Amino acid sequence: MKKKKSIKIMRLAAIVLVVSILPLLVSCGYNTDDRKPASEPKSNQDAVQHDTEQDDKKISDKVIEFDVLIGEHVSFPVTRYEDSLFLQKITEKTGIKLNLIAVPDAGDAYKQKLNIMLNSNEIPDIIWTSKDDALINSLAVKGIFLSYSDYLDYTPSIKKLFETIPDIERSYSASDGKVYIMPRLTTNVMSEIFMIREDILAKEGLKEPGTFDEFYILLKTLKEKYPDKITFINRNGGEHLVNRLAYSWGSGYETGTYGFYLNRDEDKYQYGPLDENFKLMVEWLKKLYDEGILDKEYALRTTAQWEEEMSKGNALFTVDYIDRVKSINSGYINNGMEARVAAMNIPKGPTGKSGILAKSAVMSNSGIVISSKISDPVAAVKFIDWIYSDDGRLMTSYGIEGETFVIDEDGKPMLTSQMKRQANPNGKELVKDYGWIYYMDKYEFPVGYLKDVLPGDPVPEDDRWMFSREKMEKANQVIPADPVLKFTEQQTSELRSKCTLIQDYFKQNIDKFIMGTRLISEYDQFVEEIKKLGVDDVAKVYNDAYSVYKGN
Amino acid sequence: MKKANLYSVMFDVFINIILAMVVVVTLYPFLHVVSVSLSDPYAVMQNKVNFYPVGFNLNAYKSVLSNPYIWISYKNTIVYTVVGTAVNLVLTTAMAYSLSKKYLFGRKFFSIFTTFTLFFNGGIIPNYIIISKLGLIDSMWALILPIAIGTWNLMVMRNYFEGLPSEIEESAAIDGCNPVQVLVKIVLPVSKPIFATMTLFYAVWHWNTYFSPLLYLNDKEKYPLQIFMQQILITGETSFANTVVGIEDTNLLISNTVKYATIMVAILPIIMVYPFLQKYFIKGVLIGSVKG
Amino acid sequence: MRAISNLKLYFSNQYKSFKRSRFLLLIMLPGIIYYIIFHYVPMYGLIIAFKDFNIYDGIINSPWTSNYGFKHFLELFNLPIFYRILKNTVLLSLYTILFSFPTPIILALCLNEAKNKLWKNTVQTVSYLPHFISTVVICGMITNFLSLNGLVNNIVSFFGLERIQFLLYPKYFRTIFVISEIWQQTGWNSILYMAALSQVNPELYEACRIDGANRFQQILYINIPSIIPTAIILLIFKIGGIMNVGFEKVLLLYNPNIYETADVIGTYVYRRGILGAEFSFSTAVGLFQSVIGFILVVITNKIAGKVSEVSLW
Repeated sequence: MKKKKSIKIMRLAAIVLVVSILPLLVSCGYNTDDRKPASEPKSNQDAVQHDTEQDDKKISDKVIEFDVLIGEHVSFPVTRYEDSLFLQKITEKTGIKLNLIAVPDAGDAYKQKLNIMLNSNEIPDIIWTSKDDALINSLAVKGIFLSYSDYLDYTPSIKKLFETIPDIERSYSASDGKVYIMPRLTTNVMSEIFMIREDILAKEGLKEPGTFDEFYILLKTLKEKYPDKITFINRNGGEHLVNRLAYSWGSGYETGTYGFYLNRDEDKYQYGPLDENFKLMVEWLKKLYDEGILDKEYALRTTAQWEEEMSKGNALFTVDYIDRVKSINSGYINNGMEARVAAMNIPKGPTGKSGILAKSAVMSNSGIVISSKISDPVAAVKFIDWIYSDDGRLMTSYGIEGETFVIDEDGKPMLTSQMKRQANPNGKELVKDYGWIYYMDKYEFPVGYLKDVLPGDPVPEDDRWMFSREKMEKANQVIPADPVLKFTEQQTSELRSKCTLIQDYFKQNIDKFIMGTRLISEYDQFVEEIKKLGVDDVAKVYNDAYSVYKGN
Repeated sequence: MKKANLYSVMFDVFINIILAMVVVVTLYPFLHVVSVSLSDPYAVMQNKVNFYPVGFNLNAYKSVLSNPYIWISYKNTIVYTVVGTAVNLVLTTAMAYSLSKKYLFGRKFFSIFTTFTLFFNGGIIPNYIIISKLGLIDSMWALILPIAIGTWNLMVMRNYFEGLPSEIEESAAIDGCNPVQVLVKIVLPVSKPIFATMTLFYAVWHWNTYFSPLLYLNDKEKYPLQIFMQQILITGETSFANTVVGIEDTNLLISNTVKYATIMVAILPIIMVYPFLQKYFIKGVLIGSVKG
Repeated sequence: MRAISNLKLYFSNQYKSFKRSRFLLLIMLPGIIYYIIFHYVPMYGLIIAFKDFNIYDGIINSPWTSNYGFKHFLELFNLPIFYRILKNTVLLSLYTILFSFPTPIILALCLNEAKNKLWKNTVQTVSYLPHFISTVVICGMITNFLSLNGLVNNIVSFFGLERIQFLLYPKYFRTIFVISEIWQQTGWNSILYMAALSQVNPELYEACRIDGANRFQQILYINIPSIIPTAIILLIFKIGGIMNVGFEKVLLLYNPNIYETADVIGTYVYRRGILGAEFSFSTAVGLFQSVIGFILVVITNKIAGKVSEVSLW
């Protein structure tokens, strides 16, 4: 009796197994049926219906739902549709209802999830952040995604952006020349500045240096007067130092391109550490290290330790992100310290150049991608167009007009008085009270575009952050970023394998030269060693991609 | 006699000194995390906090606990942990007990069959495809079924069963019990320590699972606590992607006090499990049953 | 004739064994199904190690690589730094096993001798706390301890020695890593041994005492033998895991200056940015690690079986 039963169970289990395994083995990869080429706009009827341009921005009278894969930062939690006035308002305006699949934007989490979904052919309607543009483009040419280039008649704002910002097409089009990724556009491209203790300069009556020799003398003076403090502090290792100093020294070292950079005088890519001027810079840094001006622990300082020394007022000079001016100074103010940091002009190097490379205004790995299987392609591209339109841009940046901001008589947006700001710290908040989605914004307004000091608010104390920004801009020291190049899959893989070795070897040695554990006289030998790892091959890849970029 | 006593006392002293040292050394990280979570962020930034809070306040906890999603994810984690552990225990016990019997048909095969999977797995893509074809995406079972048995735990448990004296089972077998009845009536009662251990191991495993909910769940309402915690912990740390692009958005930085408060919130319940299980680590759990 | 009767005997034995274990097989069934569905079926994914996987064609249809499918393996073996990362991986694991394997045993034995129950439970609970603190945080603490003004250097300078940036020199890295592993995992790993120790029959102690054994001898002759099977099983698995060093921790502790000793296979793969990008290459790397690990387990298991009669199969 029992035996029979067990056999039955076995048989059942076997059936279950076979049934569950079979489809798995068959259905891997992309189903051929789904390979419709990024479909032409469907029918005329559609077009007419949608083209009733467009005083009200409604894309569809009937509510259309899209699933959207979007990153979520923990400080800006994504709110449920039912609780989000912001998302509801978007539906009211456009007729599009977004079902957000919120994936933590922490470490590689979002990227991993997106990758797995792509690999398993489970693509959401809209991918809000592309993460791996090369991969997206390689799939796109096989018909997995919608091309914006095919729908330009429906998308006046995107069309205009293609014309005004040629980099979108130059850097982001796939191998068939079409654009499948609408990247995030930023107007705030300033990255790092030379940050110095302004109060100490003033107190000691010291002047800002014009050249790196003068800069050395300044730092040396500071070291003598404040021997207990760290004169020149640095985080993120030696690579960070050369990255930020190399341009002014007449060379270059971009971490995003593994140390290769665009030499603007010769209009070609080359590897920074091979330059004679690069070596001069290393020697200069070594001098600073030997004399105790450069932090003894510069190579290992973690962000936490850097913050510690900065906030205690223990460090006098650093090269770091402009936004840190805000947080460091507000720490000083809250603690009643007199210390203040601000930007100083960057000294001129041997070739007379000075500056730090900016971020790119067209940001890679951050674009919107639409699945070609989406139910209503026209509505989808129109919706994305709306995101880049003036109306969508205002809404995704500042929230709901009339509620969270108003347009004042200058035509600029201004916070409403109920909103949280310096003068009204208990006011309403975009995320908490309106369900605003932080990552929705793909086309930023310039810094300070929104008026957040309303008539009647107390005037804030002088703002070193704004001062620093303006100082950098006035001195023309925010250097436009190197162009974003696009690579074929094979190029990408060659870059990955060779550049990792090159970058590793460089990082292993740069601190040794600065700290003197490897003699600077061996630098030329080091150059030869690193060349052997394939520097010329890589330079060729970059220059090939660069000529594609330039349109040759 | 006296000498033996002295020896014994010395022995105790020695043992307790070692244990005291262990406590001192291992308490620090926990104490530090607690202190930071209760301190003023600025004092933390200045590295003033070590063993006790500086500028005591509860703001970090307020900010963590005021997030509605922490409560939802708490509930989710508890459900996943309880259900998952129950499934684990049933399946693992059944399999471990069978494998522990020398006379099991195909014993060697099944042992290799299970151990093999510790070393070889198909990778995340085929796993995802399986889960998806089984219709488990966005379901709690996607977190439970794929780890229904931990092979390592299975081996440990099998090993424990093998160590049980065979007399206790033989006597029961003579009484006409089949092996399943022996397992339930005789073996389980004397296996409390290993059950306590397995419960702990599995519960902690489920509690800490981060990657599979990230992959298999889409609905934020279903996310467990770990997603929330990893999000807070890793965010703002320089990730590979960020260093390449050279971006640091200070809007997105999170203070250590909040990070550490989140850690405390996330681990307190699970570390409380162990003290409750400790009473099952009783010596002499076998007496009585062996004597027979 | 004889062969046939032998065969007959064999089958009848097998049948008897099957019949005898039918209940056991029945209760194992859900487990077996689990292993098939969630472990063996997905294993077809391993073939992408021998293919140039691309998303569009999927796992089955992607083309095989050159070199008879071994392109990715050859690429790994031909890396200029292959020897370095292999050596570092193995050494780091070996040292970790060597030094951190005995500590939980010692802790468990000591705990077992503690008489005050409250004290014992407290020690145990406290000692396993570091296991729960996220690695990110633990590594943050370690870097702080090791900085020029950190705890370790304060101790060093107390003894009149010069302060050192420990994380800048390749020679210290393995020690740092091993000690931190011990610190973080000893308490947690002792739990299993505590479970094993509770298996001991108290009457044995009685008998031992009558024989005049002191407490140290009791540990030696009763406690240690009782945990040996557990220890051996764990050791076999540890040795099988030799190629998978805790790479997240290395990643958080190392820096370019000490790649010489700290760079392991996992960190190289991570740095190259192929996690989630070049699935074929990373699968090949993983498969290489698995094969080595499995071979080691088979060998150690054999040795363990000979020496102690404890065996995985």
